[in-house]
Amino acid sequence: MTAGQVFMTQRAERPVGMFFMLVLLVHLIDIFLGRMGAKTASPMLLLILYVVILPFIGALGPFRKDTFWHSAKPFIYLVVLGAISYGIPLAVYNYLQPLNLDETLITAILLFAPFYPFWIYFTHYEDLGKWVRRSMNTYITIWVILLIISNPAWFQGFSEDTKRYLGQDSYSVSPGALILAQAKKAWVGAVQFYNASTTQPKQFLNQSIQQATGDAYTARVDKNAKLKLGVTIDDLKTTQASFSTTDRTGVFTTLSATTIEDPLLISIDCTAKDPKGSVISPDKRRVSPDTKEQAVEVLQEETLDIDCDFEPGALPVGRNTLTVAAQFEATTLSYVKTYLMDRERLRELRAAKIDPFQQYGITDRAPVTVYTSGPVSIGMSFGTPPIGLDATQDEFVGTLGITLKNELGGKIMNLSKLAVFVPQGFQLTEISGIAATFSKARCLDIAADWCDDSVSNLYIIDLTDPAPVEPGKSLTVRARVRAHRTDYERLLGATPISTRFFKTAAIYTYRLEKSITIDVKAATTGTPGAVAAEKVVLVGSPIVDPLANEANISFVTNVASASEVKYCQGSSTATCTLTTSSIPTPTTIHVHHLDGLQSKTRYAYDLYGFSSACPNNRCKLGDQSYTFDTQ
Amino acid sequence: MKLIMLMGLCGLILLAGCTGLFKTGTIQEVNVHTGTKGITAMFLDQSPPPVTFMDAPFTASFELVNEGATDVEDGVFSVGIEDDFVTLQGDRIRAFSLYGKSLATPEGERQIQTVQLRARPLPPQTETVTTTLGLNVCYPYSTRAELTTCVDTDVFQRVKTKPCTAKAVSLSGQGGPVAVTRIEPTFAPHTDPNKVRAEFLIYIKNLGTGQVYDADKSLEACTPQALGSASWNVADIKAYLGDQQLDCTPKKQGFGGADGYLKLVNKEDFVRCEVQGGIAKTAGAYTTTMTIEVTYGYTFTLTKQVQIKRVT
Repeated sequence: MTAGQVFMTQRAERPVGMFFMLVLLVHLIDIFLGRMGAKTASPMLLLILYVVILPFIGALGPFRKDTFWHSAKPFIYLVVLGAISYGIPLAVYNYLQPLNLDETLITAILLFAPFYPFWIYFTHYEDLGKWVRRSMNTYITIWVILLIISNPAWFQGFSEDTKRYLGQDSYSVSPGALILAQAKKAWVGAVQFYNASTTQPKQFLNQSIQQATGDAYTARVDKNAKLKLGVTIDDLKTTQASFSTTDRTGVFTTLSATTIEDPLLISIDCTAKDPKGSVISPDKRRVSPDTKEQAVEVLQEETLDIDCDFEPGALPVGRNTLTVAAQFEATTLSYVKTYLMDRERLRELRAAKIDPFQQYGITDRAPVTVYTSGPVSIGMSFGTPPIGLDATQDEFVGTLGITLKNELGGKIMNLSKLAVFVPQGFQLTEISGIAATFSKARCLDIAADWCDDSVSNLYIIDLTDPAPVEPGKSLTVRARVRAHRTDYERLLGATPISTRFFKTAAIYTYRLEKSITIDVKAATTGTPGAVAAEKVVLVGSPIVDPLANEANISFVTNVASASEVKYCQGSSTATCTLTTSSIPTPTTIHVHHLDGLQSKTRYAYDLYGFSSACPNNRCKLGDQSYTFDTQ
Repeated sequence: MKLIMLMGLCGLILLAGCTGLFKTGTIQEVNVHTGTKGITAMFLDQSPPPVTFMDAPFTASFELVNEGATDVEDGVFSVGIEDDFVTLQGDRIRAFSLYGKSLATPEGERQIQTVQLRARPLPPQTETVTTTLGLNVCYPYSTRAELTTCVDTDVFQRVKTKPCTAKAVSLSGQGGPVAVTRIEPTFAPHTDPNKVRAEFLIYIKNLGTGQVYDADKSLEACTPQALGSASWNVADIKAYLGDQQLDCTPKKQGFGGADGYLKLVNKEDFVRCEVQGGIAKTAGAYTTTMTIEVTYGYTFTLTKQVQIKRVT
C-alpha cells in the first residue's frame, strides 16, 4: 500500500475523479495565470487554493472518514501535498533563478510542478476512469516536451523567439507562457495560411497568364478596387427569329459602364456589312441612343439599352454582319513603388548580414505595378529594389520600362498621351521602343489636383503614329531616367530607406464591338411578313408560377412573335439592373423560365413582343410592370 | 457530496477572477536590470486610423517607452511616409529622451509623440490606395550585468572543501536588448608561480528584434547616411571583478585601454577578459561581484499601413 493510499479506505465509493479534476484545474490556473504563465493570479490566491481549499474539499469529499476528527489525517496529508505543489514554482522563481543557476537544473525542478495531480494520478490510477487516464498520459507527455523546449540552455533559439513573440522575458523557463505563445503563433499562422490560400492562387494564375503572353513588365489590378471600371457590351440579340428583305432587320443589346469621378463619354455606332463585305449605308439605319451629335455621358454606373435596325430592303439576301460598337475615351493610371538607399549604407548593411527589408519593416520586397481597373493594364519596372544611390558617382542612370496592354476584347484606337511621373530628383532623358516625343510638363498642364510638382517630375509622351492596339497585344516604352548627385538628398529623404513611386497615366480611346451574322431571306409572296406586320399585344394577364429560386412566366399574345421578359429584384423595373429572358421563336403562347432567383424576394418584370409594327420593332406588352414573389 | 464538489469548483472560479484581492501588500525590491527590452514603440489604437479618406488630415501617434534600465538622452526617431500619397507637417527627424526603469519609475518613462499627416487626393479612376508609415527609432544604450562569481585559485583542485566552486553561469536579459548570456571562468597557472591567471569568456547576444550599431551614430542610423565601415553590430564592453577592471580582448582597432570590442555575428559574440597581473594564489577560493557593461546603439523600425479611400 502506498503512502497516498493510507488515508483512503473507501476510495471506490468516493468521487476521486472529480477531486482529481479540481486539483488539475488549480494546477492549470497556476500554469496559465499564475507563476508559470501570465502572472495575473496572485501568489496568495494560489497558496489559499493549494493548502486551504483543496485540502478542505478533499477531506470533506472523497477522503472523508467516518468521524470528523478522523478526517483530520487526510486533511493534513492534502495540506502537505498542496504545500509541496505550491513550493516548487515558488522555490524556482523566487529563490533559485535569482541565483543565476543553470537553467537545465531549473527545468529539471519544474518537471515536478504538477506534483499534486501526478500524485493523485499515480496513487488512484484505477479510480480515475479510462479517459481521464488517457488525458493525463497525454498531459504528462506534453508537459515534459514543453519543459525541454522552453529551456534556453537546450533550445536557445526557440525559446528566444517565443520570448520576442510574447514580449515578456521575466522568466526564461515559463511553460504556461510558452503554451500561450505557441497557441497564438499557431492561430496567426492559420489565419495567414487561409488568407494566402484564398488570394494567392488567383494572383499566381493572373501573373502566369501575363508572363506567358510575353509582356515585358507585368502589373496587377488594384486589389482593393471593388468596381469593375470601363464598358462592357452584352452579346447582340436579334429582334426577330428570322428576317426577310421586307422586314426591318434589327439587333439590340445592353451596355454597362462604370467610372469614378471622371465622366465617361460613350459614342454608339452600328454598322452592317453585306455578304460581300461591303458596308451598308448608314443612312438606312436607326440607332438608339443616337450619339451622332452628342455622346452619352456616364457619371458613375449606368446601363444603356442599345437598339439598331435597318430599313426593309437595306440588307440584301444572304449572310449580313451587324456590328454594334461603343467608343469611349478612358484613362488608366498605374504606379509602382521602389526603395532607394544610400549605396554605401546598403553595402554596410549587407556586409553586416542585415537584410534592409527586414530591418526597415518592409514586407513588399518586390513591388508589382498596380493599375486601375479598366480595359488596359500598364506594367512598370525600375530595377531591383532597394536601389543604391552612390554618393561617389556624379549621376545615377536607370531604365524605366512601361508596358501597356490591351486586356479586353476591344481595340485601343488612339493612344493619344502617356503621362509619366518620375520621383522628384529623377529626370527623363530619353525614350525608346516606340515612335514618340516627350516633353517636361507641369501638373497644371494636365489639370490634376492629385499631381504635385514637388513630389514628381511630369513628362508627357506624345506618340507620333499611334496604331490601334489589338486585343491581347501590348506596346512597350523604355525610358532612360537620370539623377544627378545633387538630387540624391531629395531622393533619399529623411529616413534610412525611402519609398518613391513611378506613375504612368495613359489617355486613350477604346472601342468595343459586338457582331452578329443575320441570314436575310428573300421575301415570299402571299403572306409576307404576316406575323411582323401586326402589332403584338398581350391577351389576358401573365401567369407566374414562382418557386424558391426559379419561376415560370406564361402569357399569350395576339400574334406569333418573339418575346422577352426583362426582370430584376425589387418592386419596379425602372430603378434596377435588368436581366433578360428571350424566346426568339415566334409563338403566341410564351413560357419563360427564369432561374437563379433569390428565395423570398420580390421581382419586377416587363414583357415585350417583337414586330416590325412596333417602335424599334419592340412592343411593351401590358400597360404596367408586373411583380411576383419567390417562395 | 457532488454538491460540495460543485460548490468548491464554483468557489475556485470566483476566486480566480478576484486576482487582485490577494495581492501581497509588502514592499518588494524592484530589480530593474531584467528583461531584454530597451526602448519600445507602439502606434496607438486608431492613430493612424486603418482607413482614412483622401484630402483629409489624420494623425499618427505612437508611444515610446523605455522598458530597459538605462536612461536615454540622445535618442532619435525619423518618420517615413510615402510622399506621393501623404504629406507630413513638421520635422521628420526628432530627438527624444527617456528615463529608464528605476525604483521611482519601475516601468520606465513613457512618451507619446504625434505627427500630423494629410492624405493627398487620389489619382483618377482610383478607389483606394494603401500607404505605409514607418517609424525608425535609434538610441544609444548600455546593458549592465552584475552577478556574484566564484574566484578559485586552486587551479589543480587540490583543496576538497572550498567556500565556492567556479563554474559557467548562464544569464537572461539585464534590462537591455543586448544581454550578457553566459560567463565561463577559467583559472590557469600564471607565469608567476605565486599567482593564478584568471580569465572569463563573456558571451553577448542581441536578444531584441532590432540592430546594434556604434553608440555614437544614432543620428546617422536614423537618417539615410552611411555610418562608416565597421559601425554595424558593434559594441564596447567593460568588465570588472570587484573594483578591478579586466583587460578584455579583442579591442577596437586603434584603441588601447582595457575595454573590449564586440563584433556581433549572427547576433552574438564573446570577449575574453583577464585579470591584469593575475590573482595571488593565497587568495584561495572566494566569491566576489562581477560587473559587465556593454555600450551600443540600437535601432528598430515600426510600420503601419493606412488605407486611403476616395470620398464618394
